[in-house]
Amino acid sequence: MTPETMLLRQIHPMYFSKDGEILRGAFKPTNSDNGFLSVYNGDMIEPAPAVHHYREQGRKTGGVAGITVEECSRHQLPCIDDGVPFPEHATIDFSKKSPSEMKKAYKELTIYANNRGLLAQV
Amino acid sequence: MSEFDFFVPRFTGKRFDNHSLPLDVLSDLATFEDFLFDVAKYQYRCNNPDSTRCPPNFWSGMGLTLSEVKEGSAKTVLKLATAASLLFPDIPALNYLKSARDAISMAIHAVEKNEPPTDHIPVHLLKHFEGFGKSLREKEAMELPLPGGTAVSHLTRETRKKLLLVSEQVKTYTENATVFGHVSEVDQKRESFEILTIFGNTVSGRIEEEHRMLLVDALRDFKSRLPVRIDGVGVFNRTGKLKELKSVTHMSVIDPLDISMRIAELKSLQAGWLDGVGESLDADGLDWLEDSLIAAFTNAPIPKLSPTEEGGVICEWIGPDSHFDVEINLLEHSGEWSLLNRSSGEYLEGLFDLDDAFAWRVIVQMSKQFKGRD
Repeated sequence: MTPETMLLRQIHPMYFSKDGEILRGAFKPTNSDNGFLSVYNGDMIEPAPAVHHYREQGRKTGGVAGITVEECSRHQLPCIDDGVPFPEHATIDFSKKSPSEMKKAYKELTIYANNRGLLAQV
Repeated sequence: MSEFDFFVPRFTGKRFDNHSLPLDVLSDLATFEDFLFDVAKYQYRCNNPDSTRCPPNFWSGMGLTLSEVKEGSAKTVLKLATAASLLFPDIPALNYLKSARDAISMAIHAVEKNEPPTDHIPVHLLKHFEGFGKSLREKEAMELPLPGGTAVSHLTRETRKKLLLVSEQVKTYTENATVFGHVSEVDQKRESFEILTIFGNTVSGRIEEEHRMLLVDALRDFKSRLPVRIDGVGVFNRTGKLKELKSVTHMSVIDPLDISMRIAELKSLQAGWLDGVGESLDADGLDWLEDSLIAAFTNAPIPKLSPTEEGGVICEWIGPDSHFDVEINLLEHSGEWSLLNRSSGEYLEGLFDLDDAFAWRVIVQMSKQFKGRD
């Protein structure tokens, strides 16, 4: 991945507002994620196929938002192209952050994503 | 002509706190008279199996009138007028009416105890609950005195539904309903419309003249996603699913961020809503939040609401370089707030006690100062 690599995040339908904005819950790792937020590596898959791939696994998504590796690095969020459990999988690492730092970081990502707009929509 | 206090139900719930009686509840009470007389006539026939009908003038001069609404939530007094003098209290018709009144209350009490109401009222007369109790909303009850003491039965949406569905022949029942969604079809030839609800199902209704223009305009706006809110009487199947609207009392186009609409969505979330994780949200807490938000945000940017994995709610405002949110604990009525402002480099956090009205005023002020995307 390069600093320009777009990391594709699937947005759960409850994390869209009715006026089309992406809400901060979309970028908060769940408790079972242990601080690692799952994304797709945009160098390996386009937004629309990423939506299709996600839905094929029976998971809910309302669309895909994008954050670059460089934007993550501005907030000391390492990005890892781990390729697990599928080759296009990557993670954004919040695990070293305190709860307060984590919240600030995913609020930052929410602003980037909204300024960019949705990359694919269901 | 004599009159005396005959039936004194008490209404509980927020709508009745100021000791007044909403008009739709009056229509419920109006149905009670027919219910009462039908039960009384049934009891007469049971006691007089050789008679096909009551003697002429048996019920003559008898009728119910609403005389007052007393304090103590809304305690209504229905008086029974009789042509006979109360000097002769043992007139048979009066005894039948008292027995019928008690039977209705005992039937309600029976379903509260998961016992058959048909021990008190035959199944064919339970259909009267279609009208009696129809206006009751969630967390409202009509308390009916039980015979011989201070105990009461409680007619609620839940007990009314059980009473109506005792007969397996009954496939549907009616109840007040509020629907949020988008007008997806208006058929002026068939005088019908369809709403695609926020839950993805379709509900149909009849066009009433006063709503025709709104329906047509809302359909035209279907692509711009302007939602509508419809209040009326719905027809539900035995599993409680709304099938159609029987009548519409109110219809309006609403803001896409309408608080009540979003709260309805949040209430519908089942445990596991977030791809297998995510707790359901406390219904009482959501009612409290809905009331609080509607009261606070009458003239301020409406927050965008979303659930948390832990069963809380986030109120959120997003701008091009700023973000403000309050993460609300529905059980403790507390809120963790945080404000990120890239322009000033500020990141602030704090805690609100949301039972304190001052906290809501601060949130409203912060949301107004917040520079939104628009």
